[in-house]
Amino acid sequence: MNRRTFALTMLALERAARPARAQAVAPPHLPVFRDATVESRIAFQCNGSPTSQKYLIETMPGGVAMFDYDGDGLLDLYFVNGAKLDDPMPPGKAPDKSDPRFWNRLYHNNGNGTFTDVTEKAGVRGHGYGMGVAVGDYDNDGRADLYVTNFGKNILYHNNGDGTFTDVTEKAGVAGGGWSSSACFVDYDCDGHLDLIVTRYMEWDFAKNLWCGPREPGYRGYCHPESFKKATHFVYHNNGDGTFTDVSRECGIGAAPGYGLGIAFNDYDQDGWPDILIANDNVPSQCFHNLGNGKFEEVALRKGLAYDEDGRTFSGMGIDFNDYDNDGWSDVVIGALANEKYALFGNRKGRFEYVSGQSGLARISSMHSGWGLKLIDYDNDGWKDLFVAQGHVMDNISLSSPSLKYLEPMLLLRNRRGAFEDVSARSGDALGVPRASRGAAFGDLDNDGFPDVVVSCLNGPAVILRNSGGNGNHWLLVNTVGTTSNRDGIGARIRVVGESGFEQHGIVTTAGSYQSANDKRVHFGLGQDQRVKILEIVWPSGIRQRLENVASDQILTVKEPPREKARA
Amino acid sequence: MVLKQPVFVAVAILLALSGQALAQPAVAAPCNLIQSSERRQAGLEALRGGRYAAAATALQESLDACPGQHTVLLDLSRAHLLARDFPRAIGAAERFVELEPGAVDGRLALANAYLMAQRLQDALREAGAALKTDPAQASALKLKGNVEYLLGQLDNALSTFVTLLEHHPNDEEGPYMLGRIYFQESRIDHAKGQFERVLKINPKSYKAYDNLGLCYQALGDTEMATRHFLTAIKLVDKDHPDYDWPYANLASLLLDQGDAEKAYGFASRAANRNPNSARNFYLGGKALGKLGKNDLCINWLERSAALDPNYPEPLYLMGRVYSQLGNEEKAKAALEKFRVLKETTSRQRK
Repeated sequence: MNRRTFALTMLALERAARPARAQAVAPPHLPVFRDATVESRIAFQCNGSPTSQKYLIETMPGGVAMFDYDGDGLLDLYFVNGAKLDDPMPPGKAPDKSDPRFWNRLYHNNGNGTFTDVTEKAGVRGHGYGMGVAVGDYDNDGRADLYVTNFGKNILYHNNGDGTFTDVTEKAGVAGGGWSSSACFVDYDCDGHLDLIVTRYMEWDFAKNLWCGPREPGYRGYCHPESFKKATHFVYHNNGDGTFTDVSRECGIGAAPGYGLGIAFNDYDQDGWPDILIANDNVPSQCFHNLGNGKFEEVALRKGLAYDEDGRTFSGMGIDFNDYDNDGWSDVVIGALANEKYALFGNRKGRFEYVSGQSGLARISSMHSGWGLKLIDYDNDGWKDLFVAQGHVMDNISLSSPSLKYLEPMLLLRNRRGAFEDVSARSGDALGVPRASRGAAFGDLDNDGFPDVVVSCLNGPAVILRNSGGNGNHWLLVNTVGTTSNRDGIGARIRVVGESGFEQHGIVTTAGSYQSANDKRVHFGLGQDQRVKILEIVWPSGIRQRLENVASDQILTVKEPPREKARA
Repeated sequence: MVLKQPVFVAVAILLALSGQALAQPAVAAPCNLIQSSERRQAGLEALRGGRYAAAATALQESLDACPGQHTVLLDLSRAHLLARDFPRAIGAAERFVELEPGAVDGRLALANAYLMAQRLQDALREAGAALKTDPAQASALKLKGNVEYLLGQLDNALSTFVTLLEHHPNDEEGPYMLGRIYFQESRIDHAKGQFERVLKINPKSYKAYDNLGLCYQALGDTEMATRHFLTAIKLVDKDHPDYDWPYANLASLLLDQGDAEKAYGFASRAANRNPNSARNFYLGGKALGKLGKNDLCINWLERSAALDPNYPEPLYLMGRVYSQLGNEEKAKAALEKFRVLKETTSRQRK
């Protein structure tokens, strides 16, 4: 750069640094999110039981699940709750969940916009200090089961099919222990039975608690994770008879400890085997490449997923593993703390490139803290947008950083062909309300084809956000039923080509976000396409299925065909 | 930025001290006063000319001609320090302190020498000794605060700079260092307030503008960040030809905004000004990588890694670029070096 070019650059930058004049561009008609909490009759609050001791568990829960437990075609809701803590906790005392304020809650979707609390009948109030939830039909009986993670022993609730659940944890052998966070059901060895992977946050208990932050009144803070030891993650292989075997160490995942908070899976290299991604707090993210023989190899550093583009770690929390740029390769988005940036990794045929800067995500997210998040096509234009439930981890952050807030509004970023635009301010007043958001689940509560959002807020009311839809765009919800593969079809990869030739990709999963479980059905926004020219499913069994000329605006249930028929 | 500022400050303190009149103790020793004086003048002249080794020789001769003129030891210590001969710098200052244990200047010279030799605890002790004699001594407070900052004793450093500010409200160093510490602690609003205070004391403080740019960047206001970096650049462009920070900081901001071409321009300006900065070459390499000029990118990154073998960023990016180019062997080697370096620094931090 010579002096003249340099001077011109300086001039251009000076001009650019001046406030831009508003441009009169008509905004497109976009759906908005409406707070439907009161009318839904859901009055859940995740109670963390904050103490002056700043026990780290207080600020970390909790998750929420959207799942259809009674098979009526409507998504029900399950919220995970904390437990009562003493201030300070006497030695040897466990968190107390006996008070109904601390119960986990199951709400039945009545189909008319309201929900009914069925916790007691269902028998799913939980125990221990709750964190997260995973959903999957682990015994292939056609009914969605629940796995609840805790600080303490975890719980596997078997769905009995009559509106009740049975705690089968001990029999199944999946209690785990310590401090679990997010979990996911995935058939990692493609044997037709859902396995279970559980992230753990750290080796912590009340006796190990420390004073962190300045010793001034009000300034005590929650400790940095590095104050405590990393924890190993659990991998439970499903034996197909209602029991699981702990294969954590031998499969390779349990041998690599971390500060695990978020988990998601997808087949990043398209070799037919689901790979596991774990978002860790302040240490490198982990990508476990599935070798197809029951073992995994950690490849995050090699593949460009472990760090940001400068080789720095970030406080990884919520996560999603999906194709945001419609190139057929699954990308990764991970939430982080304020003064960092949310991380977006573009998949370049099995290798990842950090694209937070070029997508606009870095600029938008640098002052926010993101927990529950997901790439959802909320406006059905065919591009997956990004919704993030936000809030800082420190309830007193404004004392040290007045420009940072503990309570934050939600963030909605519209995907404009791979670049994100912040549309939060014009997407409904409900998004602008500051909250201590944590877990968030995504799915279509009213089956109108426009995805809704449910957010669990720490020490505040949970919020039901209804997507108004109504922009005339078309959609398709694909509900998979496995036969050779696991009954849910979890892990099936779906390719959709609209009549315009526009192509999209998705995967059947309930995992992702933060400590939460999402609608199992795969949602596609089709824009103005009224029909889907090709719908192709690659089932975990390897069976390929192709449907043609599928009408839009429907919930399409697809059953996995027998191997011979699929070939024909 | 964080690590270099205190060293810069230490040198500045040293230079400031050199201008102060030193008390001449009454020591009865036979000497050739004229020769000693001449050699001392020659030494000081060489110091001003940047010929530090020659300065040290002349000053030693001055001392040899008249050992009783032991204030020369302070000049000698400074010459050795600037010649980066830290053991001799420490030796000269120690001899002075032995002769005059109560002199603040001697303690400060010794503390500075320890600081430059990275003997931080010793530097802290000597700064403390100087402050026992004069608790409000500005240079001693700055030195103590800087050493505490380098030792990671941020609360102590904060308290020291607050004391400096109480005693010397118009000394820009106090709010500047407070701003640096707050920035380090991610207390960006507080940092911004301190840098604005520096500008009230000295409206031409390019360092304050530069750091305000960093604050605005951290607060997500890229327009204001750009504006402040540009102001800092205007202030240093002619008058401070060696100051490279705002160029590098603006390059980094432009990279975040996806403008690799402009970023490269500022990074190369930074590298021209300070060719010993690993960060400048890293930023240039990163910009080149984004522009698809991979061969040049690797060259810049290799230079960066060579300049500072403990700087992990260039190794990581090198690994990524080699991987993109399909050179898996070199990618693996660079990433392995990066991994080991990261683990070492993580252990050290703990």
